[in-house]
Amino acid sequence: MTRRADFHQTFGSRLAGLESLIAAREAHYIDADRLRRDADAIDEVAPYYERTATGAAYTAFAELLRIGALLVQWRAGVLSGEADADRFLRAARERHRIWKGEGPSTDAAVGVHGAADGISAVTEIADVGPMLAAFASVPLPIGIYVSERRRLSTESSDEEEKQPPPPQLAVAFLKFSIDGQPAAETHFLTPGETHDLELEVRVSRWPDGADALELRPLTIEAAGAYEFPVFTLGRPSGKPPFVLHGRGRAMIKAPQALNARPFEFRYAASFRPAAVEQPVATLGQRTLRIESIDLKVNSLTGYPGLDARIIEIRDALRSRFNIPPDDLGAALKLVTALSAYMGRVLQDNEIAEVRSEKQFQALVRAELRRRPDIGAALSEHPRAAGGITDLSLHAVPLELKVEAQQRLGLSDCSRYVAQTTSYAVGNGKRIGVLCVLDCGPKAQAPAPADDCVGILLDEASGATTPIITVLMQANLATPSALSR
Amino acid sequence: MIIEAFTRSGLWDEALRMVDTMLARLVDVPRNRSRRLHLASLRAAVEIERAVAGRSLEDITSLAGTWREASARDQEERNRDQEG
Repeated sequence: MTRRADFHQTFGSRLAGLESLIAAREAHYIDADRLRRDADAIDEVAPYYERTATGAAYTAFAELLRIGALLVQWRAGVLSGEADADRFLRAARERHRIWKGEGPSTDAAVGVHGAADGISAVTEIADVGPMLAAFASVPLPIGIYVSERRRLSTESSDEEEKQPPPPQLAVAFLKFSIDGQPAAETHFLTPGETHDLELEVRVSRWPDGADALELRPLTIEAAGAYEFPVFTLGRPSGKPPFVLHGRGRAMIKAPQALNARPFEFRYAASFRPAAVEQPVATLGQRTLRIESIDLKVNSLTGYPGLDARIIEIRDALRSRFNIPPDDLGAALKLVTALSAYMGRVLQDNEIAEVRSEKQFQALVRAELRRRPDIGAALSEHPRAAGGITDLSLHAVPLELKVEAQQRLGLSDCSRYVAQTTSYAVGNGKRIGVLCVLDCGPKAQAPAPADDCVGILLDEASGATTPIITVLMQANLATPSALSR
Repeated sequence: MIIEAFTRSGLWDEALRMVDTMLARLVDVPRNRSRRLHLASLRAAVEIERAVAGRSLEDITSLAGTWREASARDQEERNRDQEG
């Protein structure tokens, strides 16, 4: 986490968030994760404003971005016919309710809070654009840092600059770490295992009569799905500001599917007993996004590089394309199974000679049928768009091709993308899968496996239907034959 | 800092006037270059917040470009100062 920040960083992050909101007003905008990344960037620098009031306004703006992200997901879900898309709207309202219930804020943040008050009146996706425009129309104060005062001073400095800022009670989250590692933008936790969760907070001063500072997780996740600690930190000694550390155990009880969204937890701060003075502002990065799959323990393919590539592809598909989750899930199942097969074919040269398309289809069909998560759901030769697809899973087409004449790279597979796109569109899908067997003669070492999986697009059809492509390198030369 | 106080109160024109006054007091000579550049980036930021307050969201793209240019020059100058 950033420990220092300056005007360029903070205003740069503010401007990025503002531009994302402006772009998100358009109905075709679907990149909710961009809004969340902007919110995280703002939260990271908010504690470093000299004035608590300014930092609080920025923190409130970050929360607007997160609510905006949920509204964008709701609109995209409705437009793509996603089941129970309204859960995103419910989540946005619930998040707003929790936020409002967290207590008083500074004057500077009041206007930011107010921008989201209309969320209860949002009932149609046509309301999302105006709501996001309202979020984008809240001005924020320009924060100044101690380090920049010298650069701003002129020969006759203002008397006000010499006045100390009024003391305000604020809690700033400086650092979260999980199992000793700084919490990542999205952290992976093994389901069913306990993990160390540590945090560091800065308290501007300790209120009279307070016994403890309590940091409690707030979330919209189902109560039985997690155990996250409540941190109770006792009164510190010394002079303010105080930096306090807490340590606890966290657990996600249930594993997540590959196409599930991460869990989100946000920590709120309050002093105990409740009757004492409470923080006017809670600043900093206090939202944890957790995925309860651990690729080290529960690998998707048996090949770490391919696992990471599949996660990258999943995230890119979520942020750049509006694909219904069921179709994305089916495509990812196919790609996961094909990638695992591709890893084996590459590692052991499992296909050591030229194969026909018919033979290749029989191999792939058998491989996919063995997977309990695919099995009987795999269809062979369904018709689509006036042609016959090779295989499909829940109507997401899998097109198979064989190249026996020349060596291919992933980008060379573009020549087959238009056909796969046509099948996908013919099935009413916004995604397809292509698997190409390169079994031509080889005079070079193979390319790394994770370079052989990617998203290709048919530019001629508007590049709106991503085709996840897996290139299998087969019929490999023996390594000793490559020595000259 | 009075500029921050003005912007916290929504006094955008006053904040701009304050920056302009400070700029006018700093003669354009090499020793003032760093401060002038920082004030210029600050001014561009105030312009953006003023446009936001006026709901002129269509102006943000061009104002953002101005701020990013000013910010880059300001940071270059600061880095040069620190190296020197």
